[in-house]
Amino acid sequence: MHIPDGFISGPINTLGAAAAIAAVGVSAAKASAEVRANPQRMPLLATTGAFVFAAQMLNFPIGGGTSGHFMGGALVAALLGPWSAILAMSLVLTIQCLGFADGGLTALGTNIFNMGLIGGLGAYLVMRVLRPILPAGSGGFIATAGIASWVSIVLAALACSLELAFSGTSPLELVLPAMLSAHAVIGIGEALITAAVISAVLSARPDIFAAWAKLNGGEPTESYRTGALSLALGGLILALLLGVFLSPFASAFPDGLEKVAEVKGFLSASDGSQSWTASPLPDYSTPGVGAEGLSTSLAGLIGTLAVFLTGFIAIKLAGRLRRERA
Amino acid sequence: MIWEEREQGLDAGAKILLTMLFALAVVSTPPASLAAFAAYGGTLAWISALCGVSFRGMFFKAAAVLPFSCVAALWLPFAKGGESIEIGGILALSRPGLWIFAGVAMKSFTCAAALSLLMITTPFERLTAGLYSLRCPAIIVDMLAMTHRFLYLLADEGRALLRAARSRGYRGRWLKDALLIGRLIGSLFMRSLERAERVADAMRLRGFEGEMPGHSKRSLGVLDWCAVLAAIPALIAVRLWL
Repeated sequence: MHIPDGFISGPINTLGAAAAIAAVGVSAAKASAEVRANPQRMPLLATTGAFVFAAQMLNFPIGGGTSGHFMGGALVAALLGPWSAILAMSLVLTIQCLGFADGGLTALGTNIFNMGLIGGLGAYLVMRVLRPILPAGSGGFIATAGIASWVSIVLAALACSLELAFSGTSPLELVLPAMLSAHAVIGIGEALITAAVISAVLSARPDIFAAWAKLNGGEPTESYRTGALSLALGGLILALLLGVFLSPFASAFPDGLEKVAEVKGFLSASDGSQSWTASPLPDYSTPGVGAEGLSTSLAGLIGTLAVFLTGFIAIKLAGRLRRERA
Repeated sequence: MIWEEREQGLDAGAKILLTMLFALAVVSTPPASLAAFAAYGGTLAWISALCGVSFRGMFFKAAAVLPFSCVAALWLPFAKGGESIEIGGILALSRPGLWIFAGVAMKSFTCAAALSLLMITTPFERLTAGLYSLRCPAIIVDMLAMTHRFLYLLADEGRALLRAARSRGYRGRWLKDALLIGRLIGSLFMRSLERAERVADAMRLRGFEGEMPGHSKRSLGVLDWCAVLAAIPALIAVRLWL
Protein backbone atom coordinates (compact mmCIF):
# COMPACT_ATOMS: atom_id res chain seq x y z
CA MET A 1 0.00 0.00 0.00
CA HIS A 2 3.06 2.27 -0.35
CA ILE A 3 1.84 4.82 -2.89
CA PRO A 4 4.61 6.06 -5.25
CA ASP A 5 4.90 9.60 -6.62
CA GLY A 6 2.52 10.68 -9.34
CA PHE A 7 -0.57 8.77 -8.25
CA ILE A 8 -2.07 11.30 -5.89
CA SER A 9 -2.98 14.86 -6.89
CA GLY A 10 -1.39 17.92 -5.30
CA PRO A 11 -4.34 19.00 -3.12
CA ILE A 12 -4.80 15.49 -1.68
CA ASN A 13 -1.07 15.15 -1.01
CA THR A 14 -1.08 18.55 0.68
CA LEU A 15 -3.95 17.47 2.92
CA GLY A 16 -2.21 14.19 3.69
CA ALA A 17 1.07 15.94 4.46
CA ALA A 18 -0.69 18.43 6.74
CA ALA A 19 -2.40 15.63 8.67
CA ALA A 20 0.87 13.68 8.85
CA ILE A 21 2.88 16.67 10.08
CA ALA A 22 0.29 17.39 12.77
CA ALA A 23 0.16 13.75 13.89
CA VAL A 24 3.93 13.25 13.86
CA GLY A 25 4.37 16.59 15.67
CA VAL A 26 2.02 15.57 18.47
CA SER A 27 3.49 12.08 18.78
CA ALA A 28 7.06 13.45 18.71
CA ALA A 29 6.17 15.88 21.50
CA LYS A 30 4.67 13.00 23.51
CA ALA A 31 7.70 10.80 22.82
CA SER A 32 10.08 13.59 23.75
CA ALA A 33 8.34 14.05 27.10
CA GLU A 34 8.33 10.29 27.68
CA VAL A 35 12.02 9.99 26.85
CA ARG A 36 12.91 12.82 29.21
CA ALA A 37 10.91 11.13 32.00
CA ASN A 38 12.21 7.66 31.16
CA PRO A 39 15.27 7.50 28.87
CA GLN A 40 14.74 3.75 28.32
CA ARG A 41 11.78 4.61 26.15
CA MET A 42 13.93 5.83 23.28
CA PRO A 43 15.66 2.56 22.33
CA LEU A 44 12.31 0.80 22.82
CA LEU A 45 10.61 3.08 20.26
CA ALA A 46 13.54 2.83 17.86
CA THR A 47 13.77 -0.96 17.98
CA THR A 48 10.00 -1.20 17.62
CA GLY A 49 10.28 0.81 14.40
CA ALA A 50 13.05 -1.51 13.23
CA PHE A 51 10.92 -4.50 14.29
CA VAL A 52 8.00 -3.30 12.16
CA PHE A 53 10.39 -2.88 9.23
CA ALA A 54 11.83 -6.36 9.69
CA ALA A 55 8.37 -7.89 10.07
CA GLN A 56 7.25 -6.13 6.87
CA MET A 57 10.26 -7.58 5.06
CA LEU A 58 9.15 -11.14 5.73
CA ASN A 59 7.05 -11.83 2.66
CA PHE A 60 4.67 -14.73 2.73
CA PRO A 61 3.16 -16.29 -0.38
CA ILE A 62 -0.56 -15.61 -0.70
CA GLY A 63 -0.96 -17.95 -3.63
CA GLY A 64 -1.08 -17.28 -7.34
CA GLY A 65 2.52 -16.07 -7.36
CA THR A 66 1.89 -12.99 -5.23
CA SER A 67 2.98 -12.44 -1.67
CA GLY A 68 1.67 -10.37 1.17
CA HIS A 69 3.26 -8.93 4.23
CA PHE A 70 2.36 -7.74 7.67
CA MET A 71 1.65 -4.00 8.20
CA GLY A 72 1.88 -3.78 11.97
CA GLY A 73 0.20 -0.46 12.86
CA ALA A 74 -2.51 -2.06 14.97
CA LEU A 75 -0.02 -4.37 16.70
CA VAL A 76 2.20 -1.48 17.80
CA ALA A 77 -0.87 0.49 18.90
CA ALA A 78 -1.91 -2.46 21.09
CA LEU A 79 1.61 -2.95 22.48
CA LEU A 80 2.80 0.60 23.06
CA GLY A 81 -0.17 2.92 22.64
CA PRO A 82 -1.44 5.07 19.74
CA TRP A 83 1.18 7.84 19.73
CA SER A 84 4.08 5.42 19.72
CA ALA A 85 2.35 3.57 16.89
CA ILE A 86 2.10 6.73 14.78
CA LEU A 87 5.73 7.55 15.50
CA ALA A 88 7.04 4.04 14.77
CA MET A 89 5.06 3.75 11.53
CA SER A 90 6.19 7.23 10.40
CA LEU A 91 9.83 6.32 11.09
CA VAL A 92 9.48 3.11 9.09
CA LEU A 93 7.74 4.85 6.18
CA THR A 94 10.34 7.66 6.09
CA ILE A 95 13.21 5.18 6.06
CA GLN A 96 11.51 3.10 3.38
CA CYS A 97 11.06 6.26 1.28
CA LEU A 98 14.50 7.85 1.75
CA GLY A 99 16.59 4.72 2.11
CA PHE A 100 14.84 2.21 -0.16
CA ALA A 101 12.79 4.38 -2.60
CA ASP A 102 9.69 2.49 -1.44
CA GLY A 103 6.78 4.94 -1.54
CA GLY A 104 7.08 8.40 -3.07
CA LEU A 105 8.60 11.49 -1.49
CA THR A 106 5.64 13.71 -2.38
CA ALA A 107 3.25 10.96 -1.24
CA LEU A 108 5.06 10.40 2.08
CA GLY A 109 2.49 12.45 4.01
CA THR A 110 -0.38 10.52 2.43
CA ASN A 111 1.33 7.21 3.20
CA ILE A 112 1.86 8.26 6.82
CA PHE A 113 -1.80 9.26 6.98
CA ASN A 114 -2.94 5.88 5.61
CA MET A 115 -0.66 3.53 7.50
CA GLY A 116 0.38 5.54 10.56
CA LEU A 117 -2.69 7.57 11.43
CA ILE A 118 -5.41 5.19 10.24
CA GLY A 119 -3.33 2.04 10.83
CA GLY A 120 -2.17 3.11 14.31
CA LEU A 121 -4.51 5.68 15.84
CA GLY A 122 -7.54 4.28 14.00
CA ALA A 123 -6.83 0.79 15.29
CA TYR A 124 -6.42 2.17 18.82
CA LEU A 125 -9.78 3.96 18.67
CA VAL A 126 -11.47 0.78 17.48
CA MET A 127 -9.86 -1.05 20.41
CA ARG A 128 -11.06 1.62 22.84
CA VAL A 129 -14.60 1.12 21.60
CA LEU A 130 -14.46 -2.69 21.50
CA ARG A 131 -12.75 -3.25 24.86
CA PRO A 132 -15.78 -2.59 27.07
CA ILE A 133 -18.02 -4.63 24.78
CA LEU A 134 -15.90 -7.78 24.50
CA PRO A 135 -15.43 -10.04 27.53
CA ALA A 136 -12.68 -9.50 30.09
CA GLY A 137 -9.60 -11.70 30.19
CA SER A 138 -6.73 -12.12 27.81
CA GLY A 139 -8.95 -13.82 25.21
CA GLY A 140 -11.11 -10.72 24.99
CA PHE A 141 -8.09 -8.47 24.63
CA ILE A 142 -6.58 -10.65 21.90
CA ALA A 143 -9.89 -10.66 20.03
CA THR A 144 -10.07 -6.86 20.40
CA ALA A 145 -6.63 -6.40 18.89
CA GLY A 146 -7.37 -8.85 16.08
CA ILE A 147 -10.62 -7.17 15.08
CA ALA A 148 -9.01 -3.74 15.33
CA SER A 149 -6.21 -4.75 12.99
CA TRP A 150 -8.68 -6.10 10.42
CA VAL A 151 -10.64 -2.84 10.60
CA SER A 152 -7.45 -0.78 10.33
CA ILE A 153 -6.33 -2.60 7.17
CA VAL A 154 -9.73 -2.19 5.54
CA LEU A 155 -9.92 1.48 6.58
CA ALA A 156 -6.43 2.14 5.21
CA ALA A 157 -7.45 0.48 1.93
CA LEU A 158 -10.61 2.60 1.90
CA ALA A 159 -8.55 5.77 2.44
CA CYS A 160 -6.11 4.69 -0.27
CA SER A 161 -8.84 4.09 -2.83
CA LEU A 162 -10.65 7.34 -1.95
CA GLU A 163 -7.36 9.22 -2.44
CA LEU A 164 -6.75 7.54 -5.79
CA ALA A 165 -10.31 8.32 -6.87
CA PHE A 166 -10.29 11.96 -5.74
CA SER A 167 -6.97 12.42 -7.53
CA GLY A 168 -8.64 11.30 -10.75
CA THR A 169 -6.19 8.40 -11.13
CA SER A 170 -8.79 5.66 -11.10
CA PRO A 171 -12.58 5.72 -11.01
CA LEU A 172 -14.01 4.99 -7.57
CA GLU A 173 -16.50 2.39 -8.74
CA LEU A 174 -13.55 0.27 -9.96
CA VAL A 175 -10.83 0.90 -7.39
CA LEU A 176 -13.03 0.75 -4.28
CA PRO A 177 -14.43 -2.79 -4.68
CA ALA A 178 -11.04 -4.09 -5.89
CA MET A 179 -9.07 -2.60 -2.99
CA LEU A 180 -11.66 -3.43 -0.34
CA SER A 181 -12.20 -7.04 -1.37
CA ALA A 182 -8.44 -7.69 -1.59
CA HIS A 183 -7.75 -6.07 1.76
CA ALA A 184 -10.70 -7.71 3.48
CA VAL A 185 -8.78 -10.96 2.87
CA ILE A 186 -5.32 -9.52 3.61
CA GLY A 187 -6.82 -8.10 6.81
CA ILE A 188 -7.69 -11.61 8.02
CA GLY A 189 -4.02 -12.55 7.84
CA GLU A 190 -3.09 -9.34 9.63
CA ALA A 191 -5.68 -10.01 12.35
CA LEU A 192 -4.51 -13.59 12.94
CA ILE A 193 -0.87 -12.48 13.11
CA THR A 194 -1.64 -9.60 15.47
CA ALA A 195 -3.62 -11.94 17.71
CA ALA A 196 -0.82 -14.52 17.77
CA VAL A 197 1.83 -11.90 18.59
CA ILE A 198 -0.31 -10.36 21.34
CA SER A 199 -0.98 -13.74 22.92
CA ALA A 200 2.73 -14.59 22.83
CA VAL A 201 3.71 -11.24 24.39
CA LEU A 202 0.88 -11.46 26.95
CA SER A 203 2.15 -14.81 28.18
CA ALA A 204 5.86 -13.92 28.16
CA ARG A 205 6.02 -10.22 28.98
CA PRO A 206 2.73 -8.81 30.30
CA ASP A 207 4.58 -5.74 31.60
CA ILE A 208 4.88 -4.45 28.00
CA PHE A 209 1.25 -3.43 28.06
CA ALA A 210 1.98 -0.67 30.57
CA ALA A 211 1.38 2.00 27.92
CA TRP A 212 -2.05 0.59 27.18
CA ALA A 213 -2.89 0.32 30.88
CA LYS A 214 -1.72 3.88 31.56
CA LEU A 215 -3.70 5.35 28.69
CA ASN A 216 -6.89 3.54 29.52
CA GLY A 217 -6.83 3.44 33.29
CA GLY A 218 -6.90 -0.34 33.57
CA GLU A 219 -5.12 -3.52 32.62
CA PRO A 220 -5.66 -4.55 28.99
CA THR A 221 -7.18 -7.84 30.10
CA GLU A 222 -9.78 -6.09 32.24
CA SER A 223 -12.95 -4.94 30.61
CA TYR A 224 -13.97 -1.61 31.99
CA ARG A 225 -16.44 1.18 31.44
CA THR A 226 -15.38 3.83 28.98
CA GLY A 227 -16.58 7.37 28.95
CA ALA A 228 -19.47 8.56 26.85
CA LEU A 229 -17.01 10.32 24.54
CA SER A 230 -15.32 7.16 23.31
CA LEU A 231 -18.68 5.47 22.80
CA ALA A 232 -19.85 8.48 20.79
CA LEU A 233 -16.60 8.37 18.81
CA GLY A 234 -17.08 4.67 18.14
CA GLY A 235 -20.64 5.26 17.01
CA LEU A 236 -19.45 8.00 14.69
CA ILE A 237 -16.76 5.78 13.17
CA LEU A 238 -19.26 2.97 12.64
CA ALA A 239 -21.85 5.33 11.15
CA LEU A 240 -19.27 6.91 8.84
CA LEU A 241 -18.17 3.47 7.72
CA LEU A 242 -21.72 2.44 6.96
CA GLY A 243 -22.46 5.75 5.26
CA VAL A 244 -19.40 5.77 3.03
CA PHE A 245 -19.12 2.04 2.37
CA LEU A 246 -22.66 0.90 1.98
CA SER A 247 -24.44 3.91 0.53
CA PRO A 248 -23.27 3.27 -3.06
CA PHE A 249 -24.42 -0.32 -2.75
CA ALA A 250 -27.77 0.56 -1.22
CA SER A 251 -30.85 -0.43 -3.15
CA ALA A 252 -31.50 1.66 -6.20
CA PHE A 253 -35.20 0.83 -5.96
CA PRO A 254 -37.52 3.48 -4.62
CA ASP A 255 -38.24 3.20 -0.91
CA GLY A 256 -41.69 2.40 0.39
CA LEU A 257 -43.07 5.92 0.35
CA GLU A 258 -41.69 6.68 -3.09
CA LYS A 259 -43.16 3.44 -4.44
CA VAL A 260 -46.57 4.29 -3.07
CA ALA A 261 -46.29 7.80 -4.41
CA GLU A 262 -45.42 6.42 -7.81
CA VAL A 263 -48.33 4.02 -7.81
CA LYS A 264 -50.79 6.55 -6.54
CA GLY A 265 -49.48 9.11 -8.99
CA PHE A 266 -48.53 11.83 -6.57
CA LEU A 267 -44.80 11.46 -7.09
CA SER A 268 -44.99 13.87 -10.00
CA ALA A 269 -46.62 16.39 -7.70
CA SER A 270 -43.45 16.50 -5.65
CA ASP A 271 -41.16 16.55 -8.67
CA GLY A 272 -39.61 19.53 -10.37
CA SER A 273 -38.55 22.62 -8.51
CA GLN A 274 -39.91 21.27 -5.24
CA SER A 275 -38.24 20.97 -1.89
CA TRP A 276 -35.92 18.02 -2.54
CA THR A 277 -34.22 19.40 -5.61
CA ALA A 278 -33.51 22.55 -3.64
CA SER A 279 -31.96 20.55 -0.80
CA PRO A 280 -28.18 20.72 -0.49
CA LEU A 281 -27.72 17.03 -1.36
CA PRO A 282 -30.53 16.26 -3.85
CA ASP A 283 -31.46 12.56 -4.01
CA TYR A 284 -28.42 11.46 -1.96
CA SER A 285 -25.85 12.79 -4.39
CA THR A 286 -23.36 15.61 -4.08
CA PRO A 287 -23.79 18.34 -6.71
CA GLY A 288 -20.73 18.88 -8.87
CA VAL A 289 -19.33 15.38 -8.30
CA GLY A 290 -19.55 13.30 -11.47
CA ALA A 291 -19.07 9.62 -10.59
CA GLU A 292 -22.30 8.25 -9.18
CA GLY A 293 -20.81 5.94 -6.55
CA LEU A 294 -18.43 8.64 -5.34
CA SER A 295 -21.20 11.20 -5.24
CA THR A 296 -23.40 8.91 -3.16
CA SER A 297 -20.53 8.08 -0.80
CA LEU A 298 -19.79 11.76 -0.29
CA ALA A 299 -23.46 12.44 0.37
CA GLY A 300 -23.42 9.59 2.89
CA LEU A 301 -20.33 11.07 4.58
CA ILE A 302 -21.72 14.59 4.74
CA GLY A 303 -25.13 13.36 5.86
CA THR A 304 -23.68 11.21 8.63
CA LEU A 305 -21.51 14.05 9.89
CA ALA A 306 -24.47 16.44 9.79
CA VAL A 307 -26.66 14.02 11.76
CA PHE A 308 -23.87 13.42 14.28
CA LEU A 309 -23.26 17.14 14.77
CA THR A 310 -26.99 17.84 15.13
CA GLY A 311 -27.33 15.08 17.71
CA PHE A 312 -24.22 16.25 19.54
CA ILE A 313 -25.47 19.84 19.73
CA ALA A 314 -28.94 18.68 20.78
CA ILE A 315 -27.48 16.59 23.62
CA LYS A 316 -25.23 19.46 24.73
CA LEU A 317 -28.22 21.83 24.75
CA ALA A 318 -30.35 19.31 26.64
CA GLY A 319 -27.60 18.91 29.22
CA ARG A 320 -27.30 22.66 29.66
CA LEU A 321 -31.10 23.04 30.03
CA ARG A 322 -31.17 20.31 32.67
CA ARG A 323 -28.31 21.92 34.57
CA GLU A 324 -30.00 25.31 34.45
CA ARG A 325 -33.25 23.87 35.72
CA ALA A 326 -31.52 22.06 38.56
CA MET B 1 30.69 17.45 -8.90
CA ILE B 2 28.93 19.04 -5.96
CA TRP B 3 26.26 16.31 -5.82
CA GLU B 4 28.89 13.73 -4.88
CA GLU B 5 29.50 12.80 -1.26
CA ARG B 6 32.44 15.04 -0.42
CA GLU B 7 33.33 17.49 2.30
CA GLN B 8 33.08 20.46 -0.06
CA GLY B 9 29.95 19.12 -1.80
CA LEU B 10 26.31 19.87 -1.08
CA ASP B 11 24.87 19.30 2.39
CA ALA B 12 22.59 16.24 2.46
CA GLY B 13 19.76 18.53 3.59
CA ALA B 14 20.08 20.53 0.38
CA LYS B 15 20.05 17.28 -1.59
CA ILE B 16 16.81 16.19 0.10
CA LEU B 17 15.32 19.63 -0.61
CA LEU B 18 16.41 19.48 -4.26
CA THR B 19 15.00 15.97 -4.68
CA MET B 20 11.73 17.14 -3.14
CA LEU B 21 11.55 20.15 -5.50
CA PHE B 22 12.36 17.89 -8.45
CA ALA B 23 9.64 15.41 -7.42
CA LEU B 24 7.11 18.24 -7.01
CA ALA B 25 7.91 19.51 -10.51
CA VAL B 26 7.63 16.02 -12.00
CA VAL B 27 4.40 15.20 -10.23
CA SER B 28 2.74 18.45 -11.36
CA THR B 29 3.75 18.04 -15.02
CA PRO B 30 0.89 17.06 -17.34
CA PRO B 31 1.61 13.69 -19.00
CA ALA B 32 1.37 15.17 -22.50
CA SER B 33 4.46 17.40 -22.16
CA LEU B 34 6.94 14.74 -23.19
CA ALA B 35 9.71 17.32 -23.67
CA ALA B 36 9.58 18.15 -19.95
CA PHE B 37 9.90 14.47 -19.05
CA ALA B 38 12.84 14.17 -21.42
CA ALA B 39 14.43 17.12 -19.62
CA TYR B 40 13.86 15.48 -16.22
CA GLY B 41 15.35 12.19 -17.43
CA GLY B 42 18.27 14.04 -19.01
CA THR B 43 18.99 15.89 -15.75
CA LEU B 44 19.04 12.63 -13.79
CA ALA B 45 21.26 10.93 -16.39
CA TRP B 46 23.62 13.93 -16.39
CA ILE B 47 23.97 14.02 -12.58
CA SER B 48 24.41 10.24 -12.35
CA ALA B 49 27.08 10.36 -15.07
CA LEU B 50 28.92 13.16 -13.30
CA CYS B 51 28.80 11.25 -10.00
CA GLY B 52 29.97 8.04 -11.65
CA VAL B 53 26.74 6.26 -10.68
CA SER B 54 25.91 3.48 -13.08
CA PHE B 55 22.78 4.46 -14.98
CA ARG B 56 21.73 0.82 -15.12
CA GLY B 57 21.82 0.46 -11.35
CA MET B 58 19.64 3.54 -10.93
CA PHE B 59 17.28 2.28 -13.64
CA PHE B 60 16.82 -1.12 -12.05
CA LYS B 61 16.34 0.33 -8.56
CA ALA B 62 13.70 2.69 -9.93
CA ALA B 63 12.01 -0.05 -11.95
CA ALA B 64 10.89 -1.53 -8.63
CA VAL B 65 7.91 0.88 -8.63
CA LEU B 66 6.61 -0.33 -11.99
CA PRO B 67 4.73 -3.37 -10.62
CA PHE B 68 2.70 -1.07 -8.35
CA SER B 69 1.96 1.26 -11.28
CA CYS B 70 0.81 -1.68 -13.33
CA VAL B 71 -1.44 -3.13 -10.67
CA ALA B 72 -2.96 0.25 -9.85
CA ALA B 73 -3.29 1.72 -13.31
CA LEU B 74 -2.87 -0.85 -16.08
CA TRP B 75 -6.58 -1.56 -16.30
CA LEU B 76 -7.38 2.13 -16.77
CA PRO B 77 -6.99 2.06 -20.58
CA PHE B 78 -9.59 -0.72 -20.66
CA ALA B 79 -12.02 0.58 -18.11
CA LYS B 80 -12.03 4.35 -18.34
CA GLY B 81 -14.69 5.79 -20.63
CA GLY B 82 -14.37 8.58 -23.13
CA GLU B 83 -12.95 8.53 -26.64
CA SER B 84 -11.54 5.15 -27.60
CA ILE B 85 -8.75 4.00 -29.88
CA GLU B 86 -9.18 0.80 -31.85
CA ILE B 87 -6.17 -1.45 -32.13
CA GLY B 88 -6.37 -4.02 -34.91
CA GLY B 89 -10.14 -3.92 -34.73
CA ILE B 90 -10.24 -6.16 -31.66
CA LEU B 91 -9.08 -4.06 -28.73
CA ALA B 92 -10.71 -0.74 -27.86
CA LEU B 93 -8.58 1.35 -25.50
CA SER B 94 -9.82 4.54 -23.89
CA ARG B 95 -7.68 7.56 -24.77
CA PRO B 96 -8.03 9.39 -21.40
CA GLY B 97 -7.32 6.12 -19.60
CA LEU B 98 -4.16 5.57 -21.64
CA TRP B 99 -2.95 9.09 -20.87
CA ILE B 100 -3.54 8.67 -17.14
CA PHE B 101 -1.68 5.36 -17.18
CA ALA B 102 1.24 6.78 -19.15
CA GLY B 103 1.43 9.83 -16.87
CA VAL B 104 1.33 7.79 -13.67
CA ALA B 105 3.97 5.35 -14.92
CA MET B 106 6.33 8.09 -16.13
CA LYS B 107 5.94 10.22 -13.00
CA SER B 108 6.39 7.39 -10.50
CA PHE B 109 9.37 6.04 -12.44
CA THR B 110 11.10 9.43 -12.75
CA CYS B 111 10.62 10.23 -9.07
CA ALA B 112 11.81 6.79 -8.01
CA ALA B 113 14.91 7.29 -10.16
CA ALA B 114 15.55 10.63 -8.44
CA LEU B 115 15.13 9.01 -5.01
CA SER B 116 17.48 6.17 -6.02
CA LEU B 117 20.09 8.71 -7.12
CA LEU B 118 19.79 10.46 -3.74
CA MET B 119 20.03 7.10 -1.98
CA ILE B 120 23.02 5.82 -3.97
CA THR B 121 25.05 9.02 -3.60
CA THR B 122 24.28 9.69 0.09
CA PRO B 123 24.77 7.30 3.01
CA PHE B 124 21.78 7.20 5.36
CA GLU B 125 23.76 8.77 8.23
CA ARG B 126 24.37 11.79 6.02
CA LEU B 127 20.67 11.96 5.18
CA THR B 128 19.71 12.09 8.86
CA ALA B 129 22.38 14.72 9.44
CA GLY B 130 20.85 16.60 6.51
CA LEU B 131 17.48 16.51 8.23
CA TYR B 132 19.09 18.43 11.12
CA SER B 133 20.17 21.13 8.66
CA LEU B 134 16.56 21.29 7.49
CA ARG B 135 15.52 22.01 11.10
CA CYS B 136 13.66 18.75 11.70
CA PRO B 137 12.95 18.25 15.43
CA ALA B 138 15.93 16.53 17.07
CA ILE B 139 13.86 13.74 18.62
CA ILE B 140 12.56 12.62 15.21
CA VAL B 141 16.00 12.71 13.58
CA ASP B 142 17.62 10.83 16.51
CA MET B 143 14.94 8.17 16.43
CA LEU B 144 15.24 7.90 12.65
CA ALA B 145 18.99 7.35 12.92
CA MET B 146 18.56 4.85 15.73
CA THR B 147 15.79 2.94 13.96
CA HIS B 148 17.95 2.72 10.86
CA ARG B 149 20.83 1.37 12.96
CA PHE B 150 18.72 -1.50 14.29
CA LEU B 151 17.04 -2.14 10.95
CA TYR B 152 19.59 -4.52 9.51
CA LEU B 153 20.15 -6.30 12.82
CA LEU B 154 16.46 -7.08 13.21
CA ALA B 155 16.01 -7.88 9.53
CA ASP B 156 18.83 -10.42 9.91
CA GLU B 157 17.17 -11.86 13.01
CA GLY B 158 13.92 -12.11 11.07
CA ARG B 159 15.64 -13.91 8.23
CA ALA B 160 17.37 -16.26 10.69
CA LEU B 161 14.01 -17.10 12.30
CA LEU B 162 12.48 -17.77 8.93
CA ARG B 163 15.41 -19.93 7.86
CA ALA B 164 15.22 -21.93 11.08
CA ALA B 165 11.50 -22.48 10.61
CA ARG B 166 11.96 -23.48 6.97
CA SER B 167 14.65 -25.98 7.89
CA ARG B 168 12.06 -27.66 10.11
CA GLY B 169 9.86 -28.14 7.10
CA TYR B 170 7.61 -25.12 7.46
CA ARG B 171 6.42 -23.24 4.39
CA GLY B 172 4.52 -20.13 5.30
CA ARG B 173 1.34 -19.51 3.38
CA TRP B 174 -0.20 -16.18 4.32
CA LEU B 175 -3.70 -17.21 5.38
CA LYS B 176 -3.21 -20.91 6.08
CA ASP B 177 -0.24 -20.43 8.39
CA ALA B 178 -1.08 -16.97 9.73
CA LEU B 179 -0.99 -18.12 13.36
CA LEU B 180 2.45 -19.72 12.86
CA ILE B 181 3.73 -16.57 11.16
CA GLY B 182 2.30 -14.67 14.12
CA ARG B 183 4.38 -16.75 16.53
CA LEU B 184 7.44 -16.13 14.39
CA ILE B 185 6.82 -12.38 14.41
CA GLY B 186 6.07 -12.57 18.15
CA SER B 187 9.48 -14.04 18.86
CA LEU B 188 11.01 -11.39 16.59
CA PHE B 189 9.31 -8.78 18.78
CA MET B 190 10.70 -10.43 21.93
CA ARG B 191 14.19 -10.28 20.47
CA SER B 192 13.78 -6.62 19.54
CA LEU B 193 12.54 -5.96 23.08
CA GLU B 194 15.55 -7.64 24.65
CA ARG B 195 17.85 -5.68 22.40
CA ALA B 196 16.07 -2.44 23.34
CA GLU B 197 16.63 -3.19 27.01
CA ARG B 198 20.31 -4.00 26.52
CA VAL B 199 20.81 -0.84 24.48
CA ALA B 200 18.96 1.21 27.08
CA ASP B 201 21.31 -0.08 29.80
CA ALA B 202 24.36 0.65 27.68
CA MET B 203 23.10 4.15 26.89
CA ARG B 204 22.44 4.88 30.55
CA LEU B 205 25.90 3.66 31.47
CA ARG B 206 27.36 6.11 28.97
CA GLY B 207 25.42 8.95 30.55
CA PHE B 208 22.35 9.27 28.32
CA GLU B 209 19.68 11.38 29.99
CA GLY B 210 17.12 11.90 27.27
CA GLU B 211 19.06 13.89 24.70
CA MET B 212 21.59 12.75 22.14
CA PRO B 213 24.84 14.68 22.39
CA GLY B 214 27.07 15.77 19.60
CA HIS B 215 25.06 17.22 16.78
CA SER B 216 26.37 20.70 16.31
CA LYS B 217 24.07 23.37 15.07
CA ARG B 218 24.11 22.30 11.44
CA SER B 219 22.61 24.50 8.80
CA LEU B 220 22.64 24.95 5.05
CA GLY B 221 25.68 26.82 3.69
CA VAL B 222 25.98 29.42 0.91
CA LEU B 223 26.60 26.74 -1.73
CA ASP B 224 23.47 24.85 -0.63
CA TRP B 225 21.27 27.93 -0.81
CA CYS B 226 22.71 28.83 -4.22
CA ALA B 227 21.93 25.35 -5.55
CA VAL B 228 18.36 25.41 -4.21
CA LEU B 229 17.72 28.97 -5.44
CA ALA B 230 19.11 28.10 -8.87
CA ALA B 231 17.05 24.91 -9.11
CA ILE B 232 13.71 26.62 -8.47
CA PRO B 233 13.66 28.89 -11.59
CA ALA B 234 15.14 26.09 -13.70
CA LEU B 235 12.39 23.66 -12.66
CA ILE B 236 9.70 26.32 -13.16
CA ALA B 237 11.08 27.06 -16.62
CA VAL B 238 11.05 23.38 -17.62
CA ARG B 239 7.59 22.96 -16.16
CA LEU B 240 6.10 26.00 -17.95
CA TRP B 241 7.83 26.11 -21.33
CA LEU B 242 8.60 22.53 -22.27
